[in-house]
Amino acid sequence: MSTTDSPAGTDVPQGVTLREVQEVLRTFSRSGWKAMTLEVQGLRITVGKDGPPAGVALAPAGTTAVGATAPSAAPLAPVAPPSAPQAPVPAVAAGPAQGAAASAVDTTGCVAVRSPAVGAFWTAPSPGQPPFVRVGDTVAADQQLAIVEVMKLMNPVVAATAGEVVQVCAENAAMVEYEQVLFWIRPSDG
Amino acid sequence: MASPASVAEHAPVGTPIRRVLVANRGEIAVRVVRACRALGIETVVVVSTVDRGGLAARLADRAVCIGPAPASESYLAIPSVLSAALGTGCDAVHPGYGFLSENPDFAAACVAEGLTFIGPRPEAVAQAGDKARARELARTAGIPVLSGSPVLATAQEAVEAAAALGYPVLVKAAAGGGGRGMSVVESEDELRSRWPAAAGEAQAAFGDGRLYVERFIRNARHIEVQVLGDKHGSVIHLGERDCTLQRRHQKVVEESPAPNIPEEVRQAIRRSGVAFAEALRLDSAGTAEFIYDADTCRYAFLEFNARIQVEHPVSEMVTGVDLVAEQIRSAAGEPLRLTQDDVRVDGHAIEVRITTEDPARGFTPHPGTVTTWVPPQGEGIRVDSHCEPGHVVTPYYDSLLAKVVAHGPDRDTAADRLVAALGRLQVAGVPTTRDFARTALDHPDFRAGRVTTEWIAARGLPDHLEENR
Repeated sequence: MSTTDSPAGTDVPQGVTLREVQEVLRTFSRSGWKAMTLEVQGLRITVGKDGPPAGVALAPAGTTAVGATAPSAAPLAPVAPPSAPQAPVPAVAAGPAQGAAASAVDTTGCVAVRSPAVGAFWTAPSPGQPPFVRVGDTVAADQQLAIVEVMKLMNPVVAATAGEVVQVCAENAAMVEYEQVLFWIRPSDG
Repeated sequence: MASPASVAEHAPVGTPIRRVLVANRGEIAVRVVRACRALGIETVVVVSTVDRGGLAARLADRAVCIGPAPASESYLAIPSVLSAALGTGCDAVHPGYGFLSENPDFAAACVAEGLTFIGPRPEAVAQAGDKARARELARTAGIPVLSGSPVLATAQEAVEAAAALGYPVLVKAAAGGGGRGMSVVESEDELRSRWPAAAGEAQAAFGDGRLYVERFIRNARHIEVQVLGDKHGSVIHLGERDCTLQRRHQKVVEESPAPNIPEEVRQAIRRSGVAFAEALRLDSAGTAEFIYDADTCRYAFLEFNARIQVEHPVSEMVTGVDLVAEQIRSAAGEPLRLTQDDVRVDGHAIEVRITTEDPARGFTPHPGTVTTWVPPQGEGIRVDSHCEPGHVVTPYYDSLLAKVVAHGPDRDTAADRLVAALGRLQVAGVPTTRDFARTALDHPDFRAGRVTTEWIAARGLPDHLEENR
């Protein structure tokens, strides 16, 4: 059962470990590649730096679809910055989705919309339909922004305040944690 | 990739485990993470908002926040726990103790989602969790069972059953456990007046108001047998533990082997533990609990816990077996690596639970911040804990801070080592049971193996308070 106690990987592992996936993502994020699909031991990872690669359907089960712009927003463990040592990084990041892309958006004065539960994040009412909201949309207070699905129970995510959607912080179909920031809304005046 | 359900249904005898969701908190979450790491298995720990920064969350490969502090919205919320397991690609779930560990619906839900439940089969969890069914199983397996009634519908039925048993009797909830949902009743009048409230309490605590009565033993000791099974039909025991020192039915000190009992009775209790596990077709770790009558040296089956116990380290210390690792191996379908003849009980081990409770105030739990925490070290000493300086004890969960265990070649040496270790334990910021534990371990009654389950209330605590006035 062990995949780690053989020196220098002389044994063929039974499957892919979390650390190996982290290493793959880290290597990808440093590369000049725009997108990549890797399939090994029954696990398929598809990543793209400018959104999901063309022609890739994001399957929620069995496939790990990794969000493009921020590798650290992946539904796997937060990836340590390339230079950081492995060990004492707390496994719980305050906002797992606040990677490189997050810092590109100015959220000063914005209001966070947090996940009401741990579960799958859905940006649209059902697959194939347009999303509830997009960046730049103006929303009313209590307007539905997304769904967090917990074992087939659909929990609506609603705007805490009226305003403009400044950022969507998680990828469609990703697993999000309780209280994870999902949206930033810039409140409208008044 | 096959659908999860079909994998579960057609898996022959378990599947390899690569990533475990630890569905618990505190010291047992830390314990499970460490066992997994030793086996080369990755871990994901679920946390509530107040446990985000805890030791278990930092030790695990990943932590997932599943809900707010109240356990009903986090550690007991089955959909949230399952979502975390599936969303992080776990293939197995370790439930620890308490919370969802003995919830057959949770065990079944794990299996239905294609997750390996690191515990007994859901049906065994259900059968062990229903005390009336478990007792019936013990009876059919030829194990002594305390004289008791079936589940009773009315106070009148209870009065008739109690008259046949003789007072005092114990009124117990059919769905109860861990010492909760039981009360001693001395007379018919008391039984009649107590009955409706007891049913209401059982309903409130367990969602099941069914009650029964059983004979109450005055000088009782609590002795339990650690058993271990696999998916290939093998069951062994790892000796017994004596957990007689309790207050309000919560264990305080546990040791192995049990002191001061005739050898033939010890062997009979161990055989009964194995017999129950075999009747249950136990395929994981479990504990058969017995009540031992110190006056007659007779014993009777109490209940079976289909999970790892808080006090499992004392069995590990005397047998050298890592019980959590064995649970994981059994869940993965591996056959037991030990036969009964391989099991050796070496020396003696004693454990005390250090809780943030104030003995001077009736053991009231005491939330607060642990400002100083230096666990003891030394020969034969083991400390299982999630505590560290700055650790915040919240009011939401149990008050267990650490388990301090001492092993020695004999009982007195183990007790001496434990008393000395407790003296070296530095803890400040919250009141703890440390000093009370030292009093109990040094008490002549304890050293002579003459304590009963009522000893702390009747003798231990009053003596301690007198000494510390």
